[in-house]
Amino acid sequence: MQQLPTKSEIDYKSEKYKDAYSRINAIVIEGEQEAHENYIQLAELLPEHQDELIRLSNMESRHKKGFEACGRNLQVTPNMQFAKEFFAQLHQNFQRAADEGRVVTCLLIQSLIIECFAIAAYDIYIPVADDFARKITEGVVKDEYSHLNFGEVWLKAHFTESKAELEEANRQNLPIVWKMLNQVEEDARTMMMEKDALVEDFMIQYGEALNNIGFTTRDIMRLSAYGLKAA
Amino acid sequence: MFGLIGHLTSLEHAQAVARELGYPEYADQGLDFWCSAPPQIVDNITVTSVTGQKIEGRYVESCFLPEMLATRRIKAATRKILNAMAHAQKHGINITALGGFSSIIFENFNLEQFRQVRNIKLDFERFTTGNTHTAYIICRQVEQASKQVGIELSKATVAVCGATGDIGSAICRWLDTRTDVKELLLIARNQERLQELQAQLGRGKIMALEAALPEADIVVWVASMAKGVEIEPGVLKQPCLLIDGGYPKNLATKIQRPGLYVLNGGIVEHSLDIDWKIMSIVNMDVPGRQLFACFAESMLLEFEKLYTNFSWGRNQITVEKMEQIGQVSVKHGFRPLLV
Repeated sequence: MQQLPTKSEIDYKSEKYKDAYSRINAIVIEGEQEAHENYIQLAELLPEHQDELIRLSNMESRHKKGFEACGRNLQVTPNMQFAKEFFAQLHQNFQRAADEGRVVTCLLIQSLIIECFAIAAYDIYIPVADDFARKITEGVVKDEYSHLNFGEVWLKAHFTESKAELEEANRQNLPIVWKMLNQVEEDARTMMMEKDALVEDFMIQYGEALNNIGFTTRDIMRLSAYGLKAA
Repeated sequence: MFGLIGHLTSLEHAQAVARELGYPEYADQGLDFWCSAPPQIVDNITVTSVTGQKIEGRYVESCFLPEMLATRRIKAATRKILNAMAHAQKHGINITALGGFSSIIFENFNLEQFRQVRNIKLDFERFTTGNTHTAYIICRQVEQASKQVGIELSKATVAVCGATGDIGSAICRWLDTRTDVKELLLIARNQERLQELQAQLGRGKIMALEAALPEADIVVWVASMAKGVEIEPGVLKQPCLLIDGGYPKNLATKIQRPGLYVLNGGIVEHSLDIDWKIMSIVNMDVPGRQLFACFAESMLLEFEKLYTNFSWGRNQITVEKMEQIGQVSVKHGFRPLLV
């Protein structure tokens, strides 16, 4: 009988693994840092939800510390320069939308795209993570579901007036995520995380989120296709 | 609510269906795309029993394609099945049949060990392979279609190809205890399992496919392979009844000869029209009424409110369970497809 590969085949101390980890770990740390800042900005845009958003922002900060510990545990120095460049385009789009007061776009970028991508990556990472990182990541995933939920609930309540902006924001930002994914495909493979698994998990999370907000299956398939064109 | 987890038969088929359903962005994609595609609920189904009872169901397209097995993209294949199961459970479906390759992949790769799918813990009680009903229906096809084509079971040699599988072994047990079949020929790849089966039955000749075919009056094909198998029709007896219960079905289109009767195995016909789109997509001859018996099993369990994994694990199907599902199959108006 054919066997599925297991994580016992991974050498976490090898130079190849640590090299890949220096970039992936940095991305995760930077992602949590950006999320922390994004939620503070969202709190300014949505003062009625300030307490909730500040709570989420603080949670992201804790996640960042957790992932920094994962890097130290493997004696890896995260390549933060690489991570900053990795997020630059999404970062810029979020900032521009925030400056112009486009809350819907901000929520799509942070609460849907980034969170779904993070959950997908963490879900795929957990089974192949070292024991230390696995425990930390499992804790983080539980929290991440609650952020995703904030964006979903808000967008669902404002679905009719947000729909057109969501479609436009999706068209602009989803292809960026695909490009980001392609950029780290090799590193992810070194860590036994396959690109098709990441994409599939992302599409499941993102599709479910869009469905909860109010989009139909047909809308979702059409919206997801904007990512595929860039794949 | 019942559920059906299904998939399309090839990449080419998937592309054609995507185009037909109006998703041109998906129609041009290759296998890589399908390896990353998420499961979708693509059909809402209403079934009415001959008793008048009505039930609702959902069709979950897993986006699995047989090419994933052929190209050894095993992880993708197993992910499709687990994700489709999680999707069904998340949508509150009480009992879901694992159609086509789904149950085979679940069994072969021991997916029971991967119970946690993201934030969903799979509840296996909510799923059934549907194999008990499939085995029952194929047995009834052997019994009834043989009469139609003038083969007497008491004088007939029946070759079961895939005899040691879940469905194959159940068919052997039924033919052994419930019919007066003269001879059983047991064909499978694993010799050890063949010997175990032979010992259990206390009868049956273990044979290679090539040697068995010329001796068989009835061939029951229940081996599932990612690619079809071609049989040289010249070696078969006249008459010969060939029941193709494998997946995907492709013997019928390849073999044609007088005195040779090829029947799609494990297919049932419902007495009333079923309101769904999906069976025309999977190319059933009469899409409103014909369906895979494994799918019908989840409908039967829903009709009877038997929310349990009626068919589960390998080689657990007893003749008694086949009788039990057979009774409710008849009660609700399903019958085996015949020649």
